[in-house]
Amino acid sequence: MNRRTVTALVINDLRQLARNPRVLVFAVALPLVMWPLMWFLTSLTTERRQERLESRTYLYAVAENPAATDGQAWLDRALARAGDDRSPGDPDTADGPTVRFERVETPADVPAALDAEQLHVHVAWESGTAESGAPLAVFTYRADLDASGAAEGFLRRALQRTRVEVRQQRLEATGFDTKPEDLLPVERIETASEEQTSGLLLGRVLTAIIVMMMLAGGSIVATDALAGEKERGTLETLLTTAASRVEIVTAKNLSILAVAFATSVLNIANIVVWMQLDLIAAPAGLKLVIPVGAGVLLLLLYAPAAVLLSSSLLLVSGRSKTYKEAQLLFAPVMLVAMAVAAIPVLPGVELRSAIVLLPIANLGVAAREILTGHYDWPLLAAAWAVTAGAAALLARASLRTLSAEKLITASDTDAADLAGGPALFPRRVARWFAVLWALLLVWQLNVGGGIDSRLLIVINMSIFGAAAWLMIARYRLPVRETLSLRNPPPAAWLGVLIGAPAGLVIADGVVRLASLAMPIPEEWIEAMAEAFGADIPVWQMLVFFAILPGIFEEIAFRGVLLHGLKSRLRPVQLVLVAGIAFGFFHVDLFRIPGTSLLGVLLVIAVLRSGSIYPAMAWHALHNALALGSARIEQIRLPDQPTWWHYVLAVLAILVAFRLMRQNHQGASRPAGSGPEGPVPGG
Amino acid sequence: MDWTTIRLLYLSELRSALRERSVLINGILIPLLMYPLMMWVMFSAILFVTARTESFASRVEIAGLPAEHRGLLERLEEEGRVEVTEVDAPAAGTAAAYRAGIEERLRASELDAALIFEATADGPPGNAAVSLLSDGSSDQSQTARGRLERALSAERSDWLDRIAEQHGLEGGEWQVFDVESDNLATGVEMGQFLMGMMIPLFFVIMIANGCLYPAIDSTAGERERNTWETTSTLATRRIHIVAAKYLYVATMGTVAGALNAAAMVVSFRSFLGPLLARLGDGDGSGFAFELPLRSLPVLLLTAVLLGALIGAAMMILAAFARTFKEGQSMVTPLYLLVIFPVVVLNDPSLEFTPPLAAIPVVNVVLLLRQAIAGNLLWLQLGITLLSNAAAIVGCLWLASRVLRVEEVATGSFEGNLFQFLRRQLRPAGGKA
Amino acid sequence: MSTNQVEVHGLSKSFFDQARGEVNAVREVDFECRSGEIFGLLGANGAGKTTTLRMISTVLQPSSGTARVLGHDVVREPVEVRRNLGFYSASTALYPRLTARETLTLFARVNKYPAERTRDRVEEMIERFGLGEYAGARIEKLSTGMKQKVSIARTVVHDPPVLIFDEPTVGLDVLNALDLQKGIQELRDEGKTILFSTHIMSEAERLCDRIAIIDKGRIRACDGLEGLRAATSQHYLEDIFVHYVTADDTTG
Repeated sequence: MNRRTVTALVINDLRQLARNPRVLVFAVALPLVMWPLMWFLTSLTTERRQERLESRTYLYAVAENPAATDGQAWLDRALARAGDDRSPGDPDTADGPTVRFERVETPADVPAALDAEQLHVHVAWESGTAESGAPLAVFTYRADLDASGAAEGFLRRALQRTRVEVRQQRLEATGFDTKPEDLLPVERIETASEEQTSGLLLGRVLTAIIVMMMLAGGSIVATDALAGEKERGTLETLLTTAASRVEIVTAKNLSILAVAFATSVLNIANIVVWMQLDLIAAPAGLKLVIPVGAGVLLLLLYAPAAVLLSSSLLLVSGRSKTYKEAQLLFAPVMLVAMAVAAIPVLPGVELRSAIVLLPIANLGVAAREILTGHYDWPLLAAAWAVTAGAAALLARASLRTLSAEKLITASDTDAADLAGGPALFPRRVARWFAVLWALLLVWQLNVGGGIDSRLLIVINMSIFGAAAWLMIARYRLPVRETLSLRNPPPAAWLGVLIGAPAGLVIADGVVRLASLAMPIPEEWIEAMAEAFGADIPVWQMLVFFAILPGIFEEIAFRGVLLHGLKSRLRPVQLVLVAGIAFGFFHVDLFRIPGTSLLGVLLVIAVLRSGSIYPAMAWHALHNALALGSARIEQIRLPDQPTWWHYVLAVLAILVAFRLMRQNHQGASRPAGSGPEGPVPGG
Repeated sequence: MDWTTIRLLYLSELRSALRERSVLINGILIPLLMYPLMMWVMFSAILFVTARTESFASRVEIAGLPAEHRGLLERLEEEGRVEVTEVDAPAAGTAAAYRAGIEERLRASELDAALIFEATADGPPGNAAVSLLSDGSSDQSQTARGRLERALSAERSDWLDRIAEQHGLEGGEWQVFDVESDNLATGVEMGQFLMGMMIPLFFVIMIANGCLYPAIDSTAGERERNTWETTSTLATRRIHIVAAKYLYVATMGTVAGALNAAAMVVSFRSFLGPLLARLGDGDGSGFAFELPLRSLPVLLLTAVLLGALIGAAMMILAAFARTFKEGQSMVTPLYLLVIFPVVVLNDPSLEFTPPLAAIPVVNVVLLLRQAIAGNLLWLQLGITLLSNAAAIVGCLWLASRVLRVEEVATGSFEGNLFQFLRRQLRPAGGKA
Repeated sequence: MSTNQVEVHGLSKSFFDQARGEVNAVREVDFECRSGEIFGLLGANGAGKTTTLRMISTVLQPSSGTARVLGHDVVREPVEVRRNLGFYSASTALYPRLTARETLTLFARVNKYPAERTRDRVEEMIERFGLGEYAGARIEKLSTGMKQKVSIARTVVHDPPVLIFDEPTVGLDVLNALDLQKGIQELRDEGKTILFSTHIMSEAERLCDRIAIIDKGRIRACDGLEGLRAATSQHYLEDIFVHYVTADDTTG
């Protein structure tokens, strides 16, 4: 690589950016003013609301009854200090009320008066209804009306404080002279230094903030870097110069990094200035001081993350033909990056876990650990290496986009787009299933919970069936081939019998493994047990929960989806993508791991046997066994399975897949004419 | 006006828009899917975080717990997942060393929190000064501290009850009085309150988003693609072409807003409802998210008004751009101008007064909030209609003025709206 | 060293195109350009001229066959190839926000022209192409004719021995086109090897020392104008072109 060439290219990029006042104003200067201003104004609104709530006069009424005379004394005492939310022992307690209450006559129709805001809270004293025999004050109010809700809050808190005081007086009258706050006084001792505590707060969000700023800043150059050059026709000029592709990509990356870095620094400095001017407040307990050592370490740590981000932006830019397209594609990149960068927010995530393998997230967690002072070097190094590796891979991918001929030559659509039909389906299949997923999500979460689970299954299955039929009809797909409607090798059935129970055991293991990272709440398990209610007859259970899903989910996922993805993915990718997609269709977070595994196994079953039938049988058997194990004691999975359960299950699965392997001569012949027995070894 | 031509042009614009990925995504897909998806992620994340925090086993050491406060251990058991190691109070000379040891173990994460009770002479028997040691830089330790604090405060209040009982204060005399709150607002009303706070805000943003791409695409985009000349040689008056384009932009904004509002209601029902029920378990007042039927016409009306207003304003700005990119930067300030007051005025204590109803966009937000809560304020509705209509007419007038100028129409004008206005306002003699 | 500056053997390129499926844009093309000549590729739109030239300039990778520039293989030594090459076409645009001087400096540097002589070379180009007054103005402000001059200056600023002009006169008015043709002849007279593609017969007739007629991805004939006249017994290049192209249609 030639340094002189790269420098010349970087200077060229930056010079052009500097000469584009519009971009500078809208992408750099405007956010600098806008974000703090937004923040400032929002906090101003909140403050003003608080002031308005505190400065107004609230109208209250007391129901006339004998109990009210006792209560009025307490109420008066409470009202004298309403709005002062400090604890009674606090010496700074204000002398008078900070919120004014005005008593009005009890209206004839309390709800109507509340609704018309002629009254904010109504108090009724009742004697002897409480368990203790003490009088009971009932506040009637409207939580959806701002003033009424506030009035109730002020009054209730004031009255409760009054009760504490009255109690203390009564206790003192019996000769007990210790103040309640002197009972078991607690001194909180913090072993972490202030920097460490603040480091935890900062560490949770720092990575997300930096990633956001880098992406926002980097995208200014990145859209222009390849997509914009393509649009203007300068990319071809550049490609015919003696600069090598590596030099071009390096230069583009450097330009993106330089601008991203500069805008991030500007933004952070800007926020600090606003904070210094007290125009916006830092969150409580957050000290914006990072020790020098940690700061240097963080800078080193974020370096590969920065390269990863700029490379991904460049990759997107390189894959787009126009500026507009690049901009559109940046959104998903930002979403994914932000989701990953937000992982340090999750409580208790440690670098010493699988997280170390997830680029950016690992650096985020590492940054948190550095800021709180608990970290170990080997894992820091591993996290760094993983993200750096990912960055290198992406950089290489963006290098390849420079020689992607589709983007240079005029032919931007393939024949399939025009011809339609089966050839188009592989490109559209993901879109179809995404829509299907969204549909299912909306339907299941809105209405799904309220109806009979049998009906739910029937509707879900019809959705799958209808979608499959629609796709087959729309793209004129060959039904037999799409759905793999072929006779499997006879031994496959034996494979199903072995594989399904073993698969259930492994799925159970996967769920347990996942629950280490993602604990399943108790009530969820109860809700699930209820959903597969015991009051449904056994034959219905089998039909609705085993056989129907076995048929329709297989047609949709192992039939249409698998067919659509087959031509675009390599076998391992295919198995994972098609399997995990199936898991995601179970919407519920806690069901995804187990069902994804089932999906993976079923995809392998179809690919191995060349037929969908064993997968259907397997799926039905799996569901039946899962239901059975929940209802019948004898076939329940052990509560504390040991490692050999899983080893055995994995071996059984391997045997099952081996049995399913299609005999190529046999499979192509019509049913029944193939040789009997398992496939000869080889 | 030649409505047949306008209709023809309008439909062709709409058809090509539905084939344009960026318009489709910004105008339809994002408004429709963003909130359900976002809330699904939020819902899953909150479930995940709470379940995870609950699952932390807190390793806690308690030294010198007085016999009077054994109840504390029961409290901790109720908290669940607290592993308590109980030790005797350190001997007189070793207290400091013991404490140092605890701090060391906290730092090394061998322990999540510790309580040290030291008997004091003050107060009744069993009273002790309590030290609560924890490590604020660890999530597990913070959880443990929370659990200990809750248990401790419950134990203190129990103890006070026991003391009162010993001193002859019982039942009603010790209770003094009870307080009970009766919220007359139904779940539906609570839901409307919450929706009223959130829907109008995103509604405006989505309408602006829905207008953004079509407004730029149908003006600057045409120039960039060199289709502007083709369009302007059509056998119809320029005003018809512009009218068709404007209707198309306004339609896209309206559609985006309406879709978004629908998607919001749906996702509130399916995610926010269950989530609030889960988080506010003490409250009891369940939220129900249902839009009152009579708010629907208002919602539709406001969608149309906003679509028409924002669309017109954006088109005027974008008319000066020669490329899509330029158009985008010219329109951005307006986008902010619309969103800013909406964000800033998102305050439930703000009353919707007639003077506020005279400010375009802001009035729509406030009107919508009231409508979602089931209130129809006719006077304010009228003023809102008038003020927005006036703003729309103003924008259209300006647009006709702008397009009458040859240079702008052909795209050879260099500059933006403000430069244009400055030149228009300059006295004619100034040029000479 | 051979006198053939550019050597192309069996060069082929196939890719997908709209509606047509797999398209063989260039099929086994052979030719060579000798030092100091203008070699013309003459063909109709879509005949494969641009694809061929893009392969020689390493923008596209050949599907099969080889091409060498000054003995450097386009696949194995793309950087060396591009260093010895100036590529000019209607689709090689300039950065609108740079000035002419900045543009020339940038391309001299990126094309690895010796650092110490870059400055002088840029000034020399500015003078030679008459850019003096405009050298400091941004390219977006220049007229089409001026832009085109900057573009040519950009192509030759690193003093490459081989120049490729891909339909250079497309979109130019008569005077600008003549100007450009004059410029190309001057470059040839300085000893540059020029590979030139066009679909305009008069241009090829006037400029080219040797002409290759390309149709449907194949070279139909390759010779000097006189040679082509002799082979087809036609006088005008237009007739010669039609002769070769229609001859193919009958043979299939």
